[in-house]
Amino acid sequence: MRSSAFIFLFVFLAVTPARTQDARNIRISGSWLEVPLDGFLLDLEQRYPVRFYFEKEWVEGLSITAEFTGERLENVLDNLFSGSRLRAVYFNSHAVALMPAPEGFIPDDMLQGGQIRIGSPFRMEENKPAAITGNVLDGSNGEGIVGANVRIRELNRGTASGPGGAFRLELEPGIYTVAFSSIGYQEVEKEILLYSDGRLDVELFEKTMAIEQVDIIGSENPGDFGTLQMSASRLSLEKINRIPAFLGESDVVKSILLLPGISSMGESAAGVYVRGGDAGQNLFLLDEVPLFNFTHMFGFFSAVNPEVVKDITVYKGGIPAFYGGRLSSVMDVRLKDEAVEKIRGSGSLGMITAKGALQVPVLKHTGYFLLGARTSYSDWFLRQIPNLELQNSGASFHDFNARFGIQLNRKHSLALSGFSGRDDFLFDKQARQIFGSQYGNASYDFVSNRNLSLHINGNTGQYRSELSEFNDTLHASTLKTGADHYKLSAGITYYRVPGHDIKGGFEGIFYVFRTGERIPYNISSIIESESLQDERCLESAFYLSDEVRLGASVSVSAGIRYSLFSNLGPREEYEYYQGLPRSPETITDTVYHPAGKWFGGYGGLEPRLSARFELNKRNSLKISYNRMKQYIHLFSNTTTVTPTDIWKPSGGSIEPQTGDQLALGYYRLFPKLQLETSAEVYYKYIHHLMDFRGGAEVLMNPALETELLAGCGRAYGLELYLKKARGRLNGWISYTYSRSERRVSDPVQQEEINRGQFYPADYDKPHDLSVYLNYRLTSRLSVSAGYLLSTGRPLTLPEGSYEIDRLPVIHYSDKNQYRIPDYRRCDAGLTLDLNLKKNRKWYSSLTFSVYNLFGRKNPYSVFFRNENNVVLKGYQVMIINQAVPSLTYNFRFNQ
Amino acid sequence: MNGGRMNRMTKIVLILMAFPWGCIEPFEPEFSGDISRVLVVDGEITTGTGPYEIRLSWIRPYESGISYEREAVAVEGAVVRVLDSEGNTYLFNENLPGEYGSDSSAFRAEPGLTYQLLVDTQYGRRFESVPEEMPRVVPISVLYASYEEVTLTGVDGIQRTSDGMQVYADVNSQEGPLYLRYEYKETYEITNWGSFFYRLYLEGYAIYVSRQPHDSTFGGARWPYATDIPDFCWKTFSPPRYLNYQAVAPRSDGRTITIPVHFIPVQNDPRLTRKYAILVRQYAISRQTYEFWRRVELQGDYTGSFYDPVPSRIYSNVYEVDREEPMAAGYFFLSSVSTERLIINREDVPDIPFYYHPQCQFYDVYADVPGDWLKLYSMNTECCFDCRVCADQTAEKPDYW
Repeated sequence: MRSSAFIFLFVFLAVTPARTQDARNIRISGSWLEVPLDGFLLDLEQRYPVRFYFEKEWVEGLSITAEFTGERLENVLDNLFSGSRLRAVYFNSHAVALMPAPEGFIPDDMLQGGQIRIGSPFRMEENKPAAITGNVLDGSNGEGIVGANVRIRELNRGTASGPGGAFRLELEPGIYTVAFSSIGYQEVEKEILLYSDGRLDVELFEKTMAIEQVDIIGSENPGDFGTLQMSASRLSLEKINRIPAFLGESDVVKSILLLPGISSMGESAAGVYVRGGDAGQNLFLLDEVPLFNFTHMFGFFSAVNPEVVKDITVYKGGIPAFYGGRLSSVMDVRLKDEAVEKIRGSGSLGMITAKGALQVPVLKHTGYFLLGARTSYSDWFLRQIPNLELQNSGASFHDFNARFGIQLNRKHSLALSGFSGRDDFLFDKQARQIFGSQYGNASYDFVSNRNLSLHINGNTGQYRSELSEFNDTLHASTLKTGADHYKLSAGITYYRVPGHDIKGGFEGIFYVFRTGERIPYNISSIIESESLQDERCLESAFYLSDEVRLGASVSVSAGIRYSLFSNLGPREEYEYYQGLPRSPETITDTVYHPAGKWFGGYGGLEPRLSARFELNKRNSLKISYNRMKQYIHLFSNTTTVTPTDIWKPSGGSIEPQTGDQLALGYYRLFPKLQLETSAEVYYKYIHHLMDFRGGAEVLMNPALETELLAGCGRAYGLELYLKKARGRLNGWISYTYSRSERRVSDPVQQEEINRGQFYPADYDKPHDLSVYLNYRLTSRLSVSAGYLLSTGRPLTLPEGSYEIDRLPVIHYSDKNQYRIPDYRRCDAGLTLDLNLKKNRKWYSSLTFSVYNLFGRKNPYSVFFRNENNVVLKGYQVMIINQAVPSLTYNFRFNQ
Repeated sequence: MNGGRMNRMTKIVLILMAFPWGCIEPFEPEFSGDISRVLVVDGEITTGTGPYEIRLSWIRPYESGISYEREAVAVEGAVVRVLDSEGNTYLFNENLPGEYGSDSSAFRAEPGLTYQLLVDTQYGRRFESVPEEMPRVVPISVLYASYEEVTLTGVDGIQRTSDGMQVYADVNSQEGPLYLRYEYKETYEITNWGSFFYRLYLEGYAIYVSRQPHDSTFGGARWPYATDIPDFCWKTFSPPRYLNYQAVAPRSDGRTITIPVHFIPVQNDPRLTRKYAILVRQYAISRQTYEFWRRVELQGDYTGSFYDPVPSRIYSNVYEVDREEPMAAGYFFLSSVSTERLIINREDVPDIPFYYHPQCQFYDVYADVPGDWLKLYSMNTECCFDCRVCADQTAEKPDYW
């Protein structure tokens, strides 16, 4: 008997459709008289190309007396088993599995029209309820419908769908009629045969498609002429969506790269560099929650679904005292938080992802739900590529956002939100990288008597990254890193005093950094588990700021922030001999800080000052100074940011980074031309900047400090910006001249970089021009174009080689002495509004865009590798070497 | 370090690169300035007996890549001198093209004095080294070995444990920090298996050796080797690529510091099977020199992947006079040397295999015995018959054996 084959069969029966050339068409001839069934089947196996799989006990006592002349096997078996519990299941061209059907089983051909079978009769258990789970979806966009009614007619029982339209019902097995309904949608009824746990997804369609057009209004730009804030930009969702994007995938972070003073390392690279700061010096807030990794697909996309975004505000300088913790910038992404009157939705279907968002009013319009989801289908994409390595690979990501807000009364309001995002990469069955973030967030707002408002926010989040390598089964391992945080903040705004806008508050963030754990990938691996100690620390800050109007033309914002930082045990720290290079050999002592004991500690004042001088109605000047402190550091020894880069707190020999920035700006309006222009210059100095020694090992290194070189940095630049926000032709031109330099000097020459002189940072790109233009050709058709030009980023080249004491040595140029070729790219897009005038509630558009229109081969990276007898040979990588067209369908609707 | 991981990381990112619109193309860098005019100094003076040697060459520039196989161009006809702080000048003579040697009877470097290298090329360029003081001599107080299990990281980045003899050097702690570098030379005794067959041959047996490895068909040559086969050989060698440098923190308690110098595994290794000697040379070096070696080692871990950090330049202590940009590479080392030899007998090593079985090509050895051909043994390469033929081996017993 071949019962072991059954497991195998079960798996495939579910997925293999019946084919015409299968065993059921075998023609049987012969006569049998009182032959036991198993003997008969054996006989057939010998005479025909067929194998039967069954358990002997099932056919015991059964016998056959029959005569066939060219009868089809299917008919033979059907006749044979009619009246018995056995059923024949056909698999591939020759296998037939004989299966006993459970009581009450109704074969497929006896199902009534439209009946749906849920679960399997083979898994049915009497007196045990079966669970139906599923989603009620909007058939027009696939978004879940929250609050849809799911009703069992026979039992007069039901439930309502939750987030994402998900519902769950538990019922005794049986036949039921389920009705699905939701306000504004056509009701749908389904007749089901329920055997065991299973899924039922239902799509509902709107009763009518009469919806108003949704207008998304961009907020006032804080960096504009009229405000005190300088060096800041705000982009609304609408703007983000109009910018031609790679593969038509609009992206929050990629959009801000078009703004002056913000750059990336190259095509699709994960890091963002603001005014000469490092990638780890940006505070990325999503709905007030700090995210440690805000990328998907190693930087191709950012972690935020643009459909749920209200706007993104980027502060490059003049950063208000309210923000802190990172040196270079604050990127504050706010989610749609309006209490909508009617259901609103939006979404898009692109080449790589599908994304959508839904805003639902609840509790008589005093509250709302915001739900957003995005998923990639890049896995499918990879399999289309005729490359075996890629077909064995996978790349996918998804993210979900949810936000619930409610206005309790005129004074009190509450909001809750959550996020989950995950990436999964498989490379050629050799390695897998999984990373993702989650957070939960709650905030409370109080407004009293029009002179005081209070905002309290608490959130917690975690970031996890897992890199598994399983090419070598014996040494297959998984490396886990991550970071958790718990944040509480409270802020008061007091505007009782005329001419003043006083803000004050505090925030505290407790971090747990999981700096590394390596475990065997599975039981056949001989790798021993090892883990580095988690590092706990608390960063807190108090701030007070006032915005004062001094006369008609001058306004000043002055703020002070006092930040504090302390580590929490348990932790072991190495002490090194003073004056010697830090290395495992120079460790003099290990200090143990017991659990619960606070140790270390840094703190400092961070003054913030901005002033605006309105010269006249068209000209204004702004000046700002800010000091920022950063206590947690992103350590990466690679040129680009990767998911496994490690966050580490200050402490021991890692000092907090401090940055001072002075910026001056001139702003001019040309009202007739509808133009806004600005010119800003800045100078920034960074103390205690850490750089790695060449070749340093960052992962699973318990003494990371031995790999660090302490240095400092400076950055300066000029940013010119010309913007036309309104009109048929709108867009902007930004040009940045900037330098970002580092210095590592040391009494020991070998510890220095470039002899202790300032050298260009890895992302130093002096010239950076970006142009973005949008022109409305007709009321339904608009075109947009983007152009980017920047200096190639710095490069260190091997200039030659030599031997020293028989050891080969490569002679490198000064660090970042050379540059890769300049980067140039032109993108174009065409957006066609599809909605007809009658249907104002459903708005849809098609965007056709071409990324890298002229197919320029922009080198992303240059690397050197070993090849035959040549020790190092240069190669350049182009991520995109041709024009990449794409088509995206966008929609939004309003109830 | 962990080169394997880095490559894997690269591969993951290659998913993105390998989308149909990406590609990798050769890159020919354009260099500014004439990089081939960089002088390479590879020389050392020590407190040991001379002659000292200073090798001068021009750097091998990047030409469609970096290759170690290209011959470096020797710097011929230069005037090479070493100056000490007492005003003495020692001239180095060019013995071979680009190789300059001192007169051992006239120059022996002394601890505490400051030395500087001066190089004047034929074409009037002058190079100098930063004057440095010759470090004090740090004697090896004891050189010893103990049987241990150690964890070694292989070239694939994977750690494995191995049993063997760990050689240690003990040094007395000093007032200030110590920087040390070790070199060693190994010698071990090898049984010459060929002598056994040679004896048979001498006894009158007809001994045949197959013509090809793994050739079991008869038809070999009758004892094709020399007729004075020795019983033993001694192989002496220094590792081709070896770095062992240490920074030692000062200790006030006066205790000795133990530094691991070298490890010899017992399994699959011929060295400990009979008798083994190691000559350890301990160099006291400066902090600058220490950092130089550290850089050289880090560079060796570079895999060339673009997800690897780019290594930085290793600075020389030699510079061209009146030029700001670095026009010299390599190093002029000053080190005070102390030497110790340790001998490990077979009896000192627990669990030592009876003999080492070489694992390479096998030649079958047959003896013509009455009635049949008897297969006696399989040998690899000619050097197994006559150990003197092998590289670095001699039949002359060392005087200290």
